[in-house]
Amino acid sequence: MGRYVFNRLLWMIFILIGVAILIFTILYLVPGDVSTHFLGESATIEDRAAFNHKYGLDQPYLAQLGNFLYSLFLKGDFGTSFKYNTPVIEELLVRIPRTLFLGVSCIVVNALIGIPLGMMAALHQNKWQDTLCMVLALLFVSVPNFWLALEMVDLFAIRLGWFPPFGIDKTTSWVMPIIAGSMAGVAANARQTRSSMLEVIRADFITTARAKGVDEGIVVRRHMLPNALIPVVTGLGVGPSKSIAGNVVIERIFTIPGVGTYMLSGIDNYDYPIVRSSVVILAVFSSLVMLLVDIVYAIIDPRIKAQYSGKAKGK
Amino acid sequence: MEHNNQTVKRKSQFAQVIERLLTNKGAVVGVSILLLIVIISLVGPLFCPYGYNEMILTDKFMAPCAKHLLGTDAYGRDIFTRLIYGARYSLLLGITGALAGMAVGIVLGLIDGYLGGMFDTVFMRFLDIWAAIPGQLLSIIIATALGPGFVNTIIALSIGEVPLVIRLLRGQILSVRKEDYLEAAHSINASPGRIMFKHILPNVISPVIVNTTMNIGAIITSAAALSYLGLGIKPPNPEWGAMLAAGKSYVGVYNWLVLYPGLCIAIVVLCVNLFGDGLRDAIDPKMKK
Amino acid sequence: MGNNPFLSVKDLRVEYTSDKKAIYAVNGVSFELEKGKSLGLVGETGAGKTTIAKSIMRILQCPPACIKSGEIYLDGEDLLQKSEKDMLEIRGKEIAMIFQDPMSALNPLMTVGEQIAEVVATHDKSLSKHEAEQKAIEMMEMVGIVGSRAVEFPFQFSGGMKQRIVIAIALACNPQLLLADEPTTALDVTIQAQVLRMIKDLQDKIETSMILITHDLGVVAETCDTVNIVYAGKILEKGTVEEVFDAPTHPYTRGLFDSLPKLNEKTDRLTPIPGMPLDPSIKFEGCPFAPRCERATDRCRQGEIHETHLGGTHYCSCVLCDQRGEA
Repeated sequence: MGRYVFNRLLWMIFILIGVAILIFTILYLVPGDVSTHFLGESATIEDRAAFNHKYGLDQPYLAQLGNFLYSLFLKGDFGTSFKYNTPVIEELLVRIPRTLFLGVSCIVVNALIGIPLGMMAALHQNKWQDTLCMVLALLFVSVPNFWLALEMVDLFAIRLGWFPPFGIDKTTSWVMPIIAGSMAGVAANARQTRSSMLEVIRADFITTARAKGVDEGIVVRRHMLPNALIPVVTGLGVGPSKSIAGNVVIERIFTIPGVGTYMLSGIDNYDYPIVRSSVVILAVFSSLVMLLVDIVYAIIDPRIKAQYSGKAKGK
Repeated sequence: MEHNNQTVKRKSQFAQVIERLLTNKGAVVGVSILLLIVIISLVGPLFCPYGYNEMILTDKFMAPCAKHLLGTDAYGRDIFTRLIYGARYSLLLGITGALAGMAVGIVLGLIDGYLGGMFDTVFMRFLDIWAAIPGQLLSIIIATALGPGFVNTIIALSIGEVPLVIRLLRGQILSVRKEDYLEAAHSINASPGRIMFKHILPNVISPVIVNTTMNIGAIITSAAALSYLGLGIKPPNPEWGAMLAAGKSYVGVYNWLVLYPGLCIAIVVLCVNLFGDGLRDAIDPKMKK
Repeated sequence: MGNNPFLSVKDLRVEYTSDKKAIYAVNGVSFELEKGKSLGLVGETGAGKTTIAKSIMRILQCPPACIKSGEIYLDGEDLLQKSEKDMLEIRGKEIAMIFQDPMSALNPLMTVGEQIAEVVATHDKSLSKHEAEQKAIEMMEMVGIVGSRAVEFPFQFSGGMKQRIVIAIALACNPQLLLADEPTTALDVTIQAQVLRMIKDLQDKIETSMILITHDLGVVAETCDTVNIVYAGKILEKGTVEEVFDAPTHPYTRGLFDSLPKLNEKTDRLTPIPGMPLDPSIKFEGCPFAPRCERATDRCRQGEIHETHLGGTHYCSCVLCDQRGEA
């Protein structure tokens, strides 16, 4: 198992280098001259050349890329903001915890609400509880989260004054962003849990458990739930990476000074070192979450565990 | 069950799917509303008393009333008219975005499944990198690089879908490859291209179609999000997400600026999802039970 | 038969509902089983054999499968009248079941030891966890698996081994009645005889009664004392193995025997039974086998067909023997 995690981490580094190359290349191809934006139309050719030289923008693509990768992965240098002329890493370090907090909270809410909803629906298949849960889930996936966020600001922040409309000054500031950010995940989890529960409910080993005279509550808890949760955990793997990285718009609406808003500000200002580093950081988070999910997966499923620990299939 | 088996078997698979789809109330409602929206978006402009960009400066920020059914915006433009014009953006972006992603994914997936071996190994590693950047983030970056515009937005939206489609297709191809009928096709010397398109594709395509349909809703939402961020369709085009962005500063004051465009997105996405769920159940009736 | 049979099923009727259509799975089945004896339920796939067994255990999920009427007496008590709580005591302890497909009958996420220990611990609360596990290991050795493998998971065992585990679960509490639902169908032919032998031996050892569900007359001949021929949720013929095998009377029973290869006769071709089994969603009248029976008359398609006593414990539900009895 330890070996498996080590291998995965090693592999993650390669993925991240790939991500860095990809992002660098995409942004390199953006038409338009960065120096023009920063120095204005009136800047002299000499000024522009000086700007380009300072940030190494006058070098060929490969040299720039090599330089970027070298500083990022070997020196841990995330570059310097064109606009503020400060190291990007300083700003990132302040912002990362906020983005992580929002993302992790969303994942927790997804699981805590989505899984029970799906279970309730499956255990009462075709009854009103089922219909209610599935209608809710359908609404949750269909309503765009940023619109919901705006409407929540309208109602709960401005009209009712329950929560601050933006910022992170108070604890209650986080309530609306977390609700808006987790809605789609709740729906996805509820649907996934329901369908995998329905599959398990019909499984033969459930009949075996009932035939043993085991109490129905224990059948659900001990036999159905763990088996039903395996696909849900796999689904969680996609959800959280969405939550952590996809809350960019939510961050902007609630003006949460996280990595997402930082990246958007970089995009608005042509400040590419910020954009590159933010994307790499967000990719790190989503890869880590996926790895974590795979480990959980291996822990709850002995079949996978045996595969990874290289234990021979006893026959 | 037994007695209608024979009649059912004679119908094509497609006809069966349609038949099952028509018995699904949600799907029928979803498709009907979508069709209605399409018709309104095509015919509506003929009857609109205002142009979508017609500024009536005396009517700024008018609340919904008889003159302006859903009110007006900061430039005195009629919201209702703009919403009607905007429907085409959402629907077209969603559907073409999903189809483009699916098409590219199918082509790449088939090439990968066909070549296999070394190519597959390298290509899968590349996909890992591609998929490591969450879809929405990648869309934002691509949209940034390409700049705003209709085609660019479609590219940005579909690019995140491609790895999913390839993975799905590849998994299907791998499982189908072992089947006996392929052995049979090989044994009668069918050409590889023929095997790919005649034997493999029809057997692996359903999950891809279902997946694509179920993604249209998410793509419409992403499209609106991109426009909201100013990266997709730019104002003054009446794209719903862009309208949301324009209205967001007036939240709590002129709430109709945000309420109605958002409601439109939600209704369209809901209908598309109803249809997608229905299609999934119709194509794979097992999953419904 | 005896005055107080150990198990007695009277006029059992079970219906499934699917998409608001009723499926008539079991249509008035009655039979009895003596203590310590074994009964074979023989019939084609879909004849309702498994439903009968699950009804006895009351593990049918209603909906869709509901017991419409009937009585099931075990040791003089009607199981269908018992509360769910009482049934929990009976399931696994008094009545146990071996399932058809060992590949899916075990929980993939629990060790086999835990799964055997679960039934032991459920019915003997006084046992500690360790004692239950000890008992599980004992049971594994009894079915011929090394006890040290109790910590392994189902995926680490072959099909035949898994079926042994299922048998160990079923027998762990020394049940008085064992329901074996095609216990060897999913296994390799080479292992079938082995597993069957083992079930039979263990049955003798713990003196349990058994209902063996199968479509294989050979298995019945080897294993059972009495046999019921089931078709479309009805019992067409019943009696001791000797009675039925020596003088198969119902045309369906005869058809079953004709479709078997015989060692002592030279036949070029086996005789299949023509036609398809009845559509279970149609409520039939008269004899369910009539549409496929070449000797069927108008009398077969109407009214109730009565059981005819052919002597001993041999009964047959056929108009033909009914007439013979009257004559």
